Amino acid sequence: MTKKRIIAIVIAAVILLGAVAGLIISIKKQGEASVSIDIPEAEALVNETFDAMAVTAPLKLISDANSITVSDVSYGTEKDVILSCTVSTVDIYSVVSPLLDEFLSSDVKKPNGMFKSALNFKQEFEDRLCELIEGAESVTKDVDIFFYEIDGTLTLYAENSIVDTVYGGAVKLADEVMKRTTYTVTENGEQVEKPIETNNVNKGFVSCVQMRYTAEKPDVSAPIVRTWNNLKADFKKNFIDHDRWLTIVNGLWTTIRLTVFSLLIGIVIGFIVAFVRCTYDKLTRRGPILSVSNFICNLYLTVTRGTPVVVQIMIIYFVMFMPLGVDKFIAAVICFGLNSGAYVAEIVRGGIMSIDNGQTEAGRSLGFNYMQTMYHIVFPQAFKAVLPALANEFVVLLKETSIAFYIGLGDLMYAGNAIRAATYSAFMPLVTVAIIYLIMVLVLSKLVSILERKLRNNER
Amino acid sequence: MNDNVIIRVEDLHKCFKGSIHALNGIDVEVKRGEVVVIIGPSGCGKSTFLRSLNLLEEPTSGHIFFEGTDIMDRKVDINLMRQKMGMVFQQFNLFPHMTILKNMTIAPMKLLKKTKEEAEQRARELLQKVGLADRADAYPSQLSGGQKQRVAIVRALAMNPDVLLFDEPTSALDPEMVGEVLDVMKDLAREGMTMIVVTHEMGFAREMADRVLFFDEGKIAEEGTPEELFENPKTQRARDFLSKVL
Repeated sequence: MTKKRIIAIVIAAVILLGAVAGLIISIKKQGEASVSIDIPEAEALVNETFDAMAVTAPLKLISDANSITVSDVSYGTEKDVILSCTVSTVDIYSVVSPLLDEFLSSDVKKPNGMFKSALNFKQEFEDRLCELIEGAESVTKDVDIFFYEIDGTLTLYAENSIVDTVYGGAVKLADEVMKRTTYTVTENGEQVEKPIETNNVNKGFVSCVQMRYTAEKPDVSAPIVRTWNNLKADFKKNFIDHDRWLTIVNGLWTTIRLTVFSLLIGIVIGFIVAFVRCTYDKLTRRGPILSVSNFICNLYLTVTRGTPVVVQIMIIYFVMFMPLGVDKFIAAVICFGLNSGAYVAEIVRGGIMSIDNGQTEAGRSLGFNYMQTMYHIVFPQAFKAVLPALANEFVVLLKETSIAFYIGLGDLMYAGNAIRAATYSAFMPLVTVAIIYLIMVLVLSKLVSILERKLRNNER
Repeated sequence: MNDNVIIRVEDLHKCFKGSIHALNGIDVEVKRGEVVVIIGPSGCGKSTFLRSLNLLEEPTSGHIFFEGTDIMDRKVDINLMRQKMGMVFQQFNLFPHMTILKNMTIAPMKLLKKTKEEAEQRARELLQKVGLADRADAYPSQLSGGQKQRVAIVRALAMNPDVLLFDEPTSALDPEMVGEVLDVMKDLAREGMTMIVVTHEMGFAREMADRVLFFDEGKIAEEGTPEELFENPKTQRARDFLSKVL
């Protein structure tokens, strides 16, 4: 065995061991919290944290009134710090819940006959709730509050039940209101149950007692593992939940169909236009039909290549096709077909021009007419000559179809953006869309290079 | 008109743009089975004349009668006429995307409506004749220049033309390959093919030509049998030219 090989094996072994060790450390990095905290500090921390939560006026009143006393601090095995607390708070639940029916039976219309919005209800209820809170009794409860150490700082694990306890049943109250669809009133001494006319009432009420906090147990793993976990959660949220991956698949299918159909139209138009222009250039005897077709082709090329595709697709759809009730997909196919046709035409024209005139002469001298010569002799060679340029155009077209987003066609780009809008996470859907486009482009390029090699082999 | 005359040219003129008078009144008759060789200095219009005969170059005025039909008449289908006038080019102009066999069969199949079998059989016979039977499935890029030109000749022959036009068939060849092409042409001439040849190969002209045309400044400056023209040129222009090339 040579020295080089031994060194290589040793290096490989060290890298492997290092990787395994790193993995074990990163996973095993659980255990006791590294920070310690005394009782006054803990008390200050827990009060601060809960005060920072409340934002609406009624909750602010509760958090001003409540107090948390820490009797003991203990340390768990998951980098958690457990504070045994006694909470003294305003019991909003027992005060408000008997009056819920009264809240929910509020008039749903404004004096002018318009329906009230959730915001209207919130404004209406807020003062009333504040009054109730001020007159409410205090209650005292014992509760264990958990803090977790993440990157050296302690973070509250605000489980629903703990928040509920600290805010005197506010969370439970909000939950109950959200579920209510009916309210009970006493009419003529009888209890009558009536449906709530608009859920703006519920929303308005809940927004008075709502808090933003994460009710999930914090992830205390090492940063790299946490990143991975976040990525997994992100992935699940963006693709698995609500079967969102189907949106991507449908979008991809639309993009592929759009590209293929546009491509076919583009090639047909491209070859026709190139043929007309070359014929016009080559022939000395030009009939009026040829001159007019050549003029039309030139006009088409100038307009198509001289204006942005976004403008074209918006004009084709919104100006021409939408009023006629034509499908977006058809509008997009026509737009991209016309657009790529212009570029294909120039590529093909270059290809035809690059074929030696001797080929045409040889064809004509055998007795082929102009069309036959083009079809049997010039086009096959021109096609081969321009294949790389055509492939490039097709790759451009594939990417360009993402512009169909502007007319709201559900292509791949649109799907990515729809998911982004639904989940508020930009990274996962957009990067996924980019990767899918990239893969398609790479596959297409590979296919074309295989085709090219085959064509070249034919000539040898 | 004499049935024996296959091509008759009357007062043919060709002006290129920029008023270069490439052909300046050509009158000539070619009989069936005749081998006519055209020589002359470069730029004298000999290639233009040859290419005018099947209208690859469109003459400005005059008449070209091919088998009694004036092909300058717009009503004549020139494509049908061209099927009977084979042409061999200086640059061979084989179709690079087709095999040799395909090169030779495409025109008979598409234009003469021959079946694939008929066309291929005829092509193989012709290839056999020029010693290229084993290259039928090769592509033109796999052949040498001499082989390409031999294929180009049999490609023209596959259409069974009545006349073959040669446009400097050996000018683009390496010297050692000129012989093999000339041999094929000589065989054809002996078989009685009507040939009009533009060439710089004076040896071929001497040996095979029934008649030699000496072109100068778009006109036939002198014509005659090879003996007359080579041994005893009448015009000063021909004497100067021959003294340079012989």
